[in-house]
Amino acid sequence: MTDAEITAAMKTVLSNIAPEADLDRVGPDENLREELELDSMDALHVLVGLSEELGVEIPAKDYGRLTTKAAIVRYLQERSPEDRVEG
Amino acid sequence: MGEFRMPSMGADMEAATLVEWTVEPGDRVQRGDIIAEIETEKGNIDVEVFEDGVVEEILVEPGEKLPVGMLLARIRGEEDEEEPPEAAPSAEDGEGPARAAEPAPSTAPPHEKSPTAPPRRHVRASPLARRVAADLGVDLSQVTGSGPQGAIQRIDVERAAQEQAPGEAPTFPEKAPSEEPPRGEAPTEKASAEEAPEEGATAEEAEVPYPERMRQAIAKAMARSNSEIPHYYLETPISMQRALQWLESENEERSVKERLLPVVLLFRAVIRALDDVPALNGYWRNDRHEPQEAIHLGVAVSLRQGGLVIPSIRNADQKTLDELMTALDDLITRARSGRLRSSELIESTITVTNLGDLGVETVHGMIYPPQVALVGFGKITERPWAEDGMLGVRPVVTATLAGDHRATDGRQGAKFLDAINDHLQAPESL
Repeated sequence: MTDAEITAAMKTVLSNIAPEADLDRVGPDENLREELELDSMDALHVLVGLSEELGVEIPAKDYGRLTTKAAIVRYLQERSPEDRVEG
Repeated sequence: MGEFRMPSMGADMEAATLVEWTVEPGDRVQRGDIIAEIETEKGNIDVEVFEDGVVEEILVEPGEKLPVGMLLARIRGEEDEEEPPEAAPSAEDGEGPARAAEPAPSTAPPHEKSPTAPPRRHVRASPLARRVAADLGVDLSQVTGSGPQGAIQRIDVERAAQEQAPGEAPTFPEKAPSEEPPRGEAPTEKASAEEAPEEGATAEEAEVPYPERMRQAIAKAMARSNSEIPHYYLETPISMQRALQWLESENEERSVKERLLPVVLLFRAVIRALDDVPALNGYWRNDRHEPQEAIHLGVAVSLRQGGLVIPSIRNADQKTLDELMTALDDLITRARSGRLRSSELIESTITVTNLGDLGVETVHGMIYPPQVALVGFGKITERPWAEDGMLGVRPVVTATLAGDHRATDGRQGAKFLDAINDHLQAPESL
């Protein structure tokens, strides 16, 4: 799964949750929730949406790590099924 | 004979625009069915009917701005089945002033054409905005919305129409009735009825954009709260260690979609504590304290474009943690997309505000009249915590209570906050 695919999926998911949020304005290591003013319910929806969009299971214990764009991209790349098969 | 009147969505509402009827005369309805949609400062709201019966007569046309309490339709109850449909309302119906004010259907503003509701496309717009756009020949995809989540409102369409045809006066298909009908009795809104302006909706009023209208509504409710309610404030820090540990192990067993958020534990603890101190659940009306049995938990939901609404989770005391989570999720989603139901906006018996997501530790809130209490939770943060002679670090939340001193005293308030703490220390029995 490429960086661009994950970013595109994040944009799709965000457009349903916070239509006015501009992901491009957020730096890779900035806190997504703070920058996009997402509350805890929004943040949960983002992760549920990403999980569905990309077919990657995200266990609750990992939620705390997924606070920035870079962290989310890295995490999803590690967990995506094709990468695991290759790796 | 049932009378369906413009409902009041809180102390701050005076009028709303009828957007559409979802029923026709002759339709059978059941209590809780949605029969109309209205546009208010709080977004578009689906209005439910309060009794079973048959829609006998629809008295007003969509598009009009109408005062709270105004008679909108007649519902023939089951026991009235035999009445001929044309039966004139009899004097013993009461409600004289309101009835005198009913505009005859023929005085309703003419609609050039009343296109049936167009299929919803990706453009987010209120049904009224769509209708006005159709009338004015405005392409909705070219209009910038000022409503919730950028939804296009009537005012946006009218502005776009003006820009398209400069110099041409905009038409207001839903022009307000020129004569303000006297208000019907809105049972809980005595004060707001007294303050109500005598004017009906004017073109100028209709032009106030959505965020400003919501601001005005909040201003009114909070000014009333501040001038009428003698608030007292209590606060207490609560260790969330046990609750969060329990939640973490609980979530581990769950799929992403079934995950519970800490806020649901806080809500559940409030509900359990109201069982212990029921006086805080209810209203102050007509100089009297009216505790309520059912708990309709009002949840302050902030909106992205600014402002907030306080819809309620109805009968929250009957819901499990999972049901509360589902209800909260659904409520927030619909609050932000402007799809709340009328019963969700009129019946809160207590309000909870959770500003922790914005990073503050303590909330000193204002009670939403006619309620008598507001519970606030701040952010759960790690803080030094002394327990059993040991100093440690714990996740801690500050719970606050704003109480109406006419209805309760600090002693009850203190018992209530203490009960919230107790329940959060035993999360498995929440």
